[in-house]
Amino acid sequence: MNPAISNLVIMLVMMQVSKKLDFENPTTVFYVRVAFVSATIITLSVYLYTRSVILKKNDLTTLKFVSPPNSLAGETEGKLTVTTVKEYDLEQVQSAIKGVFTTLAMMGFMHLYMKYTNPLVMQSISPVKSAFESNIVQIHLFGKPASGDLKRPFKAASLFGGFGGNNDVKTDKSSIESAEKAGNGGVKQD
Amino acid sequence: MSDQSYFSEVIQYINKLQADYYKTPLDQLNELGLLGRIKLYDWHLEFIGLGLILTIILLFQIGAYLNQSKVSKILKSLTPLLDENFHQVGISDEKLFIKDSIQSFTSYATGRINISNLKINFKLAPRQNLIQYLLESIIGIFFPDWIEIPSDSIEIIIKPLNKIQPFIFAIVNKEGMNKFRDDNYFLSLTKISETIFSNNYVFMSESNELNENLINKDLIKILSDNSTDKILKYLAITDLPSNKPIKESDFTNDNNQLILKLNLLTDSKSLSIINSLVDQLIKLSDQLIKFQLKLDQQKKINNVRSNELIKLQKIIQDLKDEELKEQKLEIEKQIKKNSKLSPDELDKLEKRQKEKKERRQRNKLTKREVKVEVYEISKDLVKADEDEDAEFDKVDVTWTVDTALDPFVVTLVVPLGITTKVEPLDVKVEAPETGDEAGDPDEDGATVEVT
Repeated sequence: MNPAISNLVIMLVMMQVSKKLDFENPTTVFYVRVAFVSATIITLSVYLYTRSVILKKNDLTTLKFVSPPNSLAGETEGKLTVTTVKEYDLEQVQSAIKGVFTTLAMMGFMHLYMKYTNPLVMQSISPVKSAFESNIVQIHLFGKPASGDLKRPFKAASLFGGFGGNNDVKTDKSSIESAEKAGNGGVKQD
Repeated sequence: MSDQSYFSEVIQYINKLQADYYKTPLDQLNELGLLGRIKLYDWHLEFIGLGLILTIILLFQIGAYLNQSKVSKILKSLTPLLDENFHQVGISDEKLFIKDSIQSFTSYATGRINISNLKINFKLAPRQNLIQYLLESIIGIFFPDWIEIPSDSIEIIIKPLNKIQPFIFAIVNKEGMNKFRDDNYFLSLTKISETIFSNNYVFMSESNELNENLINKDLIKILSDNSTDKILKYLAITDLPSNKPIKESDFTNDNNQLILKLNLLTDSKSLSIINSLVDQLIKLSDQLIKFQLKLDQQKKINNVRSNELIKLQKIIQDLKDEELKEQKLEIEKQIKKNSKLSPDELDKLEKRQKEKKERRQRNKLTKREVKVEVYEISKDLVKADEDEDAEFDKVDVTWTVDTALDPFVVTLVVPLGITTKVEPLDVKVEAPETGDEAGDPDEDGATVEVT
């Protein structure tokens, strides 16, 4: 099933579930907290384990791609990124781990300061789900081959279907070759 | 316990320490004498403060010492090799390096065939500032785009003596290669290709011919060593600068250099690798003298430079055009604004601008001191309204001259009840009409405008 659709289904179900829960009851709140904390720990350990697998594999295959120009920064040409599979994967895991901590901070604020318990219910399921669904975990934990949808660089799931289809990362030979010698390095920032 | 109460408790504790001293009445304190007062006073707080300051100084010194010892260690291990090759090693005979700051050091060697000079730049972590060091290390992990994790690096740059052919060739460590391309203009002009000898490095060069010819067995042997990839960042030969050119002269200047960028590690194995890499770099400068690219390859490479130059010229021209356009727009805006005014207002505006201009000019002149001569007011110049018979041969007059005002205002303070019409020796005085203010007996001064 498409992750976006399953996410939606889960969200609707969980909303109904959380309606039934009595958040005034300290016991309920306690169990919700336990659920959230254990979910966070599971997510984090999945990513950390994936990270250790990547480091162990030490795959130094060169990876080249042209990322789309950032139109907000006034760029007109895409920029070449040259990296290794290891470095690319580590970056992906790193950003996922960062995401876990961001969620943790946000939930901490919402729950401890604003006294909302509702979002904890939702956040006990979706991070775990998205961790297991993420490309990087699929490749390294489940040993799926890195081809097809899992081919690096991963396609970003765009919310708006990409503006004019211009947002794709390019990997074809000609665009890499032209971006390779663009000479846009060493720009001094002051 | 909340922060507030915790803080107040600390204050209370401090006050308690001092209580004895402050409870003692003043006269008793006086009787105690200096030594007695010193004994009575509680010095805990001062000692804590002093201790903290000393700790900070000590940590600073330790950090600075660590940095410098790293530099000395590297240079000490490099000296035999450099001595063998160069006539002069170090900044002078006694000095091996210059300490630019606690985090950066420079050393130098010169006097060898084919090499103009060799420069070694050290960049070290901020060990002297422990807080900065820790903070950057932590933030660097989470936001690698913003702040780099502090690390030590060495850059060894050889400037060849003779002109070598323009081309870019580099062996780059795969770890961090994207960043090296972002940081160095010359690397971002090259094609990336795999090396045959190791999976840890790539070639970044302008021609495959360079990859085949500029590498030798010794270098391959060093690069194949697994420890080398912890040290070597890149080895490059370039005729273009590391910073993106912003002037045309950046292309024409002689930028030829051989660069060796390394991580600074000081264990004995790393030191021997650093030594052999520097050795290879020196040998490479000899190899370059004989090296000649095929004509068509060289032509292609030269074309890249002229194209880059054209690109730069276009950018410079565009910038100039934009500036001109902006100026034009500004003028147009002003004209448009003025055309909306009525003729009367336009007149006023012109007048105001003219005045402004004049004032500005005069302000330049008013810097000089104004001297007023003492003069005698002749009898017929002083017209006393009520006391027509009174005789004034001399009137006590004080002057204040404000030259910043326009026109100059000379204020004369004259005896009560007298309005004056004064003509100083060298300035024409236009006094207000005598009758106007004369009636007021309280008037103790008259304002005279001097043009």
